[in-house]
Amino acid sequence: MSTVKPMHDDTALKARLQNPASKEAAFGDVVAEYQERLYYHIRRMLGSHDEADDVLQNTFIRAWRAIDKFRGDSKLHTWLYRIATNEALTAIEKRKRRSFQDLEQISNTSSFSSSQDGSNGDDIQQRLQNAIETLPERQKAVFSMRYFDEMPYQEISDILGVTVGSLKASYHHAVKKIEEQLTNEK
Amino acid sequence: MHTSDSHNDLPHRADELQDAPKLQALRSQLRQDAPEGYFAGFRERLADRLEDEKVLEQAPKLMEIGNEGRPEVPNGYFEAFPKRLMNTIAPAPVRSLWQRPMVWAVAAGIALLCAFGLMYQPADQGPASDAIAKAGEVIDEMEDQELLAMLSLAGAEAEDVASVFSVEEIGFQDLEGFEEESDAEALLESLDLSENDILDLINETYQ
Repeated sequence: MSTVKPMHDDTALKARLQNPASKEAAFGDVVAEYQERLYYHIRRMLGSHDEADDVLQNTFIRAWRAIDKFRGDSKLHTWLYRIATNEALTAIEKRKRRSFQDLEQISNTSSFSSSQDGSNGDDIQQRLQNAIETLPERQKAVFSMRYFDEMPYQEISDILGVTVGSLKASYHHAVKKIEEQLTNEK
Repeated sequence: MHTSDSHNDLPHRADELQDAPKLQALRSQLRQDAPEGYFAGFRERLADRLEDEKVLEQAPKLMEIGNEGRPEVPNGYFEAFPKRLMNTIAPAPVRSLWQRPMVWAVAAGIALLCAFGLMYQPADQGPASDAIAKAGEVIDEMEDQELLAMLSLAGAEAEDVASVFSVEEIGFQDLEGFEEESDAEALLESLDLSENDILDLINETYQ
């Protein structure tokens, strides 16, 4: 079930981002390179496409505004995931404040397709998403980055500012809870 | 970049490949594909994965679903997203006054007026007259500074324009008019537009 994620050397990209003449084109490349990964990360945390779209845009807008300050001390990948995760958490907080956190609504607006060939792939993915929705917000982020993106714990630690040990415990809890949800549901 | 990595210990010694220089070169190239630091943290990453596998063994339903399913996304979403985003964040290119369609059209209208001496003819003589009349209306509403800037871009001097328009009408009270039609023709030439181009621009703008 494991998928191999390529490691990118973004030194050249960082250099282009810091050059005013190439900044905009380079940022376009960043968007093209990272949009899908960030979208799915955000989508798994939020559930609905519309919210994920808003947050993805906010993520890149924030990145664009801060790109001059990005000196490449961290990986571009880590930096973008950090922004995306924070934006998604902010969106969840706003949703809570608006009292819109309605699982039924989330369930109605979330739809999934599976790369597997099973005829009920959408249903399976929907069940998984419903189980993910029961996790605490930060645990969702941990689960998404570890389970779906197969990100090293150290990188997740850099993104969330949590120790590796805590992350492992959080991930293991998440797996256990999701399994329980999947087992208990009809 | 791989000096301390564990794959240096692999049992591929140079002498084993001495009769196959191309293969040796290929192997060397392939080894450069690994990102810097990849092998340094490999053992830890593998240990983490094995630990995860043990956890997932206790979650057979989750294992069965796998991690490759993806939420459904509207058709063409990712294709359209970069352009949509860049339109939001990238500053709109600063267009010079000359690049604005209205200014083009008005300047063209002025040039037309100048060149054909139609300024004081009634606006009931077909499309050209209509267009000129429309341009004239716009000119009436323009600020002097804007008109001056536009005319400057068209390569015309305020005095030249004042020669065709009445001084009072364009507000250049300190200019004296003259009536050399050649100046007006030069203005049209400076725009490098045919009469049809001018009419198209005017119609495009005011229709």
